[in-house]
Amino acid sequence: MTQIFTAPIIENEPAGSGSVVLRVRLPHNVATQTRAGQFVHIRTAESADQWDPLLRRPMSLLRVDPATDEGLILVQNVGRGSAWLLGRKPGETLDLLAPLGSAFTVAGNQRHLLMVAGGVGIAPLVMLADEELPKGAEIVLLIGTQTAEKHLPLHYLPEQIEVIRATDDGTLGHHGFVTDLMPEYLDWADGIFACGPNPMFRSLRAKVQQHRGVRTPPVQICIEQQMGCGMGVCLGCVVETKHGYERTCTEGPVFAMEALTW
Amino acid sequence: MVNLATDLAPRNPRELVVANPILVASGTFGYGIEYARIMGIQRLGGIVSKGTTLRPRKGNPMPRIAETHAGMLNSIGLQNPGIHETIRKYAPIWERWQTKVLVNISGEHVNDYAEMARLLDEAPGIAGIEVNISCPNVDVGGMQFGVDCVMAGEVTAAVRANTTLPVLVKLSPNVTDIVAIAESVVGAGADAITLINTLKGMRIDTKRRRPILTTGGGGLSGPAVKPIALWMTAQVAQSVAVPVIGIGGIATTEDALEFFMAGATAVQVGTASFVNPHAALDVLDGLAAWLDAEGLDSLNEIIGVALPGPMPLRTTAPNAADEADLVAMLRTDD
Repeated sequence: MTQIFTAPIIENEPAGSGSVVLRVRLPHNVATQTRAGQFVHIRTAESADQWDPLLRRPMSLLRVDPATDEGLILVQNVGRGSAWLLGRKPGETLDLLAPLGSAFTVAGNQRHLLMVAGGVGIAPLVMLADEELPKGAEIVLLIGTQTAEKHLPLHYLPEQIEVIRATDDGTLGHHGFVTDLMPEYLDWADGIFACGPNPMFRSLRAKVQQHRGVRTPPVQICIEQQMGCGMGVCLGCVVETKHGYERTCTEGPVFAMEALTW
Repeated sequence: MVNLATDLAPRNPRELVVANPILVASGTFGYGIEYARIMGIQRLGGIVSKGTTLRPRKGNPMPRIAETHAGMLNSIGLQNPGIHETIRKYAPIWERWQTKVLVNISGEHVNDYAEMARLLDEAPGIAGIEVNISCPNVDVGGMQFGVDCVMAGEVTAAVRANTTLPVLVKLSPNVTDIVAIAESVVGAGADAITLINTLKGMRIDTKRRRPILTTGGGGLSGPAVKPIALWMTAQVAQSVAVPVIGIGGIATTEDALEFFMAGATAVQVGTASFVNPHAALDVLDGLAAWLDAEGLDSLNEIIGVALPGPMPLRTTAPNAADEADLVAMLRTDD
């Protein structure tokens, strides 16, 4: 189902400081079959005959509406490619290669889902919430950013989930790391699903290891990683696992935390 | 419809006839199967496999890639499962393919190359061997063979002695005189030359004040390197009497035409496939349309036309004496 396609941009919506949500039209099969955790690989050169910036940028879908085939892509300004994406206007198009990579998997007996998001890492978790809510899941979403104005506006989140926010500078919610909020949910959670920068994962792992409860919920993490091809051939996005190096774009970006060795 | 079929190893009785002169470069197309799910890979003239070594290699630590202007640096470090696993896993698949598959091999010792050539010679589904004497990202072997005429010749001779398969030798641009290396490997039995591999380069993270790549430097590829690759293709094409396969920054039909006019018999599309997986097929379709529009019925009519001297090799090789004359006459590395 992976394909290259042109996605018309329907809307460019401001979504916190230095971020936008691009509302795009997806091919129907991509809109209906892409799963949370998988990514879209976006060209960021001005046109098909331009080769700078060269590489595609991997981004998660935030939400997909299978009724309208509209997808939301959360873009944060982190470099040349994302800066170009921030300036895209309705009526323009994006060159996408998607869907790629692995998805979160939620077992039938996992009803209480604890989600931990750092920065733009929120995107695949919102999509996961959209997938699991209709199945009856109860969801707590912990979101951390550097500062209040970097938080995604709440209207992008499903209403049926409990949202708790943190900021590094204390301008909104808990003053500190998002992972500080985890301990009180660890006995409740049947599974933990996380996406964010690597330091957040290290902190998350420590919280889970320090937990002295009746059980330890399994953790799946969606890794943010610069990529080359996205198709598994350039080997530029590998991550160290118990099975050796694995490709973030192909075996990942979603990995069981216990499989990773860092 | 123009017939684009060409023999990339006219000196070799086993031949390497590709349906068209557009191949995909080693390290940019995996083992072919990765792209089969999204495009018609059988239309490609050929696929050159990921660089393969005698024993499995883990590769270098991350980060392994860094984007540059219209290009990228890589320092993958030849991560691969080894020649035995590569043959076991992929050769039976390749055997069923219409497109020609060449296996790119890289060694730490001359004996590694010899052993791999012997194993490939017995394997099904393999149309030829591309000998990598030019990888810039490994500690031992790789490029060190490619920067020394004697070593380059020794490696080529060792491969030649262990297989009757067509042997292509892929040259490093990180040398003082690429023509001398080309002549050495042709003298040692190479059926064709492919060039160029990546150029050694570097980027520094100014916040951390450290190189971005863990290995310090890496290999530069992508559209940024095209003028250098084209120049080297022209130099070598005028100096050796075997086909030259141009590589380096080819992303469009126009790019490929430049390489043909510089004397390349075929080209490989590399880094562009990362950006546009269809790039090689786009080049192919554009080439057929261009020849049609120009009223040409063969690519031979443009190969080397931009070069000042006599045309380089097209389909038949001159004898050894002619070759020496040609070399003496056409050396332009002033």
